[in-house]
Amino acid sequence: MWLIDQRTVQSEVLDGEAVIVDFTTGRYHAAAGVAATVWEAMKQGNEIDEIMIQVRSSYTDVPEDAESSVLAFIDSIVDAGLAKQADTEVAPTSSCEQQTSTAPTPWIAPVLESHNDLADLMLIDPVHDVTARGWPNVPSADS
Amino acid sequence: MSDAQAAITALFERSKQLAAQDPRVLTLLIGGERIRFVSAGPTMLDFVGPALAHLPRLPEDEPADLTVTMWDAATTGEPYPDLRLPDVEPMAAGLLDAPELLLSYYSEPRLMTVLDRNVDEALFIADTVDALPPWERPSPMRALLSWWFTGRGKLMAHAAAVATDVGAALLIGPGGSGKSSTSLVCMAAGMGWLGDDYVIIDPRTRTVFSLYGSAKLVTEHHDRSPTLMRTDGTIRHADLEDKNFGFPAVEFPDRVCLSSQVRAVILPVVTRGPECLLARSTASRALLALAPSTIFQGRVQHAEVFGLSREVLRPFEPYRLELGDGVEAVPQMLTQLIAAEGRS
Repeated sequence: MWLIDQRTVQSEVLDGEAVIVDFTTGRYHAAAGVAATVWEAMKQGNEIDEIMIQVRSSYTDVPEDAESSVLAFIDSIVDAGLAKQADTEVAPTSSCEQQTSTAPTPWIAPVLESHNDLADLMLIDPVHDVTARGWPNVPSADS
Repeated sequence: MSDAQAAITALFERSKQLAAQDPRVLTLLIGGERIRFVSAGPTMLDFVGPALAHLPRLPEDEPADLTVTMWDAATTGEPYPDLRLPDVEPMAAGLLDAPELLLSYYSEPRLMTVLDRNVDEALFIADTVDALPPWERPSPMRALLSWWFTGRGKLMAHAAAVATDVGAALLIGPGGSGKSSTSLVCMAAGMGWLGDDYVIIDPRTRTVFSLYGSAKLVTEHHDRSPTLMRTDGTIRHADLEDKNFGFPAVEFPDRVCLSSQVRAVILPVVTRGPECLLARSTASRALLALAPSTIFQGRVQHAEVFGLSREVLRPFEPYRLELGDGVEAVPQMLTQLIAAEGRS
């Protein structure tokens, strides 16, 4: 089970591709096909077994070792800071839905495409967040 | 009232007193909204003026939807406000996002922007305009306008736009994708020009509005096509490519288009191939091209800006514009595309 903080990470699936934006880092990502299916299933709070059921029912030519590819993709999601492993079991918000496409889609190993080009924007006009609690109560130099 | 709120309330009052001593008033129609700038003396208004000079001016007694009071310490003799803000590194900004107040500031040079969302009033305060960040002149008050328009359900998009009588093409993509070059080439060919880097979009009516009359070009691109734009200044940063900026809306006022209905969404990409090509792209690629850079311009209201970006793009099937040799063909390509999309 994985937790995604939807206050800081928002996503939208369009044309079978997930667009994922991390508001805390400025990084943004794309996940197409199988990767989008896995991402949506993670968002819904499903376990790996449920995710694999959906993948196998939605795609053709899924290899025997597909689960290792899916787990590697999930690791890349976690490494990117988009999700973290839940400490305790959380009820899924909805169970996986089987894809109803009439044309079966062939399996392609899921990949997370990551973009960091907004680092340029941060360089030229960087902003450091200041919380209301931290302002205007700045510690004095001698405190 | 918290200490922060009390300090900001007092600053609003003092700023209005300063502006009343030698008021210079400019009321403009921006993005379909009436925005009044009240400056203490001419200095601040002169600073932001060139970027906004092409926009329709309204009578001074016209009710305003947003009022921005602006002053600088050098002109007024008033000490720069000491709000006990935490220091940030030179040329970096701090940001306070309280429930009704948004505040961004630089420590060096000293510059402060405040928006009170409850009363649609804002402050724009500098120590001296001579030391303001180089990007502030071509696109002044960017964060403030982004915050305020988001609250009005309109998107201040990181996008360029060009138009014909039929409608507009929205050009979206990260820095360096070719937005500026494309928009200036189209302008030079006689198309209407709405903006090079930022435009306002109302997703309810699919209307795109001009915002800044400035354009920015990487110096190398500008040197290759110097006739596209007269340079008024250069934005330099140790870690980035230099960019020249100018005010094509002032230089070519007859080419300015103040608003238009969006007919096509274009994702330019520099390919350096043998020709320029238009091909279908996807909704997800368009959202990737528009939302992240637009979101991080304003730095707050992330979810709202992400949602507005989706709304803006939803009606359109986007196109990818591959920018190779022969960019002079691009205006005709976009004119034909706008016409075709306008018929459908």
